[in-house]
Amino acid sequence: MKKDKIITKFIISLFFMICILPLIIISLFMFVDKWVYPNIFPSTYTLKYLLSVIQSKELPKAMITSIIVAVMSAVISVIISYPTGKALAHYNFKGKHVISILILIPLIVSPLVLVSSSHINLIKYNLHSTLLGVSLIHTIFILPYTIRIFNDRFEEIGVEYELQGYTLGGNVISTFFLVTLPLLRVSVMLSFSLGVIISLGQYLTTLIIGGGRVMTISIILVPYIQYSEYQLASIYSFILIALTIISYTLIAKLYKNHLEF
Amino acid sequence: MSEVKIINLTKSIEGKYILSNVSIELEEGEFLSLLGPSGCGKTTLLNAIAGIVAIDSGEIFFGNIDVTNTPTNKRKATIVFQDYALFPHMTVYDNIAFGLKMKKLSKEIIKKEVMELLEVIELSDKINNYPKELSGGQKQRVAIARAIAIKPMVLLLDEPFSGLDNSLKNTMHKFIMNITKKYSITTIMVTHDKNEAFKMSNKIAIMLNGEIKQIDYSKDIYKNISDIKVVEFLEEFNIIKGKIINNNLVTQIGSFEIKEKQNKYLVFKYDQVHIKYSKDKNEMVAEIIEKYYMGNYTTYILMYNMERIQINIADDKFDVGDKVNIEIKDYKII
Repeated sequence: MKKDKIITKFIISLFFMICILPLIIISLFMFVDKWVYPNIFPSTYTLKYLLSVIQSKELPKAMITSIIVAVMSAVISVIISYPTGKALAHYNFKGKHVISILILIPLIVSPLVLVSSSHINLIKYNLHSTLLGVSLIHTIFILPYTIRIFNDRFEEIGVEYELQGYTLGGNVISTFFLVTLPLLRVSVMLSFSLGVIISLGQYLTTLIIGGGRVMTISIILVPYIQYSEYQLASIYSFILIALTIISYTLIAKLYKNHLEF
Repeated sequence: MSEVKIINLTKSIEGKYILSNVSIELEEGEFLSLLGPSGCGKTTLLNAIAGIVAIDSGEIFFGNIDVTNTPTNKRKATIVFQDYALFPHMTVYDNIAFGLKMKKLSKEIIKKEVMELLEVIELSDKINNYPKELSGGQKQRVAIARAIAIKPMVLLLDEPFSGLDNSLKNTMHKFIMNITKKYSITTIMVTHDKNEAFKMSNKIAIMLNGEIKQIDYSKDIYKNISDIKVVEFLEEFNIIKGKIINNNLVTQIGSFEIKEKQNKYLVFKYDQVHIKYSKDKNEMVAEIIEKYYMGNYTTYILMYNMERIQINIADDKFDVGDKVNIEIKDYKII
């Protein structure tokens, strides 16, 4: 019993250290004017960094770019993951096992290798430094997760609902929209949210493929960290977190009534 | 004209026959049970009739229409799956209305038909409930109502009672028998339970290894039994192998006249044997070696001249070790 309590306290402390403490520090840093060692709390506060970011011209542009790229990446991922997840769950074919492993490559291989090799093709098709090009690269890193989400769901629901739709007179389109898609709502929602989250957090891929012309929040944020501009870095980090939460909340609200399926 | 006619249906996977020359003919309103052990091809046959599984060869007719190459959604054959496959995101009303909506009927007609069916299945009060809020029996009733709502030419039931307890099974047996009779729907049911098959259907097809070994009216199945594999599957017969000598089948328990040379098995049902205490000590007698109380009857296992014979009788006065005379009341040589 005592041991259990210690473990519980340890897990809660760990969660606090990893998830909550950085948020508190970020929130504080947004208003810090001076915070020097060995002070535990900042000595002076200011709103000048926050105002400078709000008044900057690059913020709205970067936010819109980030949202467009994230939504495009998420949508493309969902569109690709649906048939892939279904094929892996419901069909037996030669090379199925190999494909299942290949899908995980973006998680195993260095992103730099993947981005470099994709770069050539994107230049070839004039997609370099474009929103679509950046979205496609982000998709590569989203797919391992979203395909897995769809694959698991298709395995769970089986083929019977769809077949039942057909035997009751439904054609492919009506059965898809009335039967299959509602059953996949949670998968669509999760995949979309995950797509947005992963895309918003992409720095290196956006930098290389975007060629400095596709300015997302991450592209603005990282140099501030590199040059120890912690106040500005915190504000942009906070915006990134807010965008992620907003996107998740919106999609969750959209499917609020269907979460149980 | 037959309502359902299946001619020489064949289906193989990786060189192995799942269905081999399956032929079935059913009149309107007939109830056929596909009876066989697990893995014999019953469900594949059902799926082939529904158009879910592609076949290698053969023909399927509904009425005078060849539906062999007709897509599933245009076949007018509806299947009720083992776990009912009620759409979880739809209410009871929407589930039943689904097929009618696919037919693009007007809202008023759909409402009228659904309400009528809800009354038949006695679930009018569950109209706005979701499947997760229903019991097993209620789910099955909704699944049946949904299937018959579109007035199919053939209703296909895939082991519909496998998830139900015994008392509910009996209720649902009656429900399905009544509703298929009321709407005169030609029905094909897959089952591995022979009691269920005999109780519900007027025709039974016994399937073994992808082949229909026997198809008959239920009352004629035992009468016309002619395949030793069917006898073995039914598990109600003693099977005694013999040798053919001069138009006689000679077995360890006696000699029997035969009509066809290839017949070499003497078969008789467990309940078609009469036993009595042996009085004549010189007479060949059987010895009871095992005895089991089965509730409404007693099973005795006897050894008779090196042959093991099972009998099921109401009388439980005999005991292990008793010597008895046996009399076979009805037998077949196949």
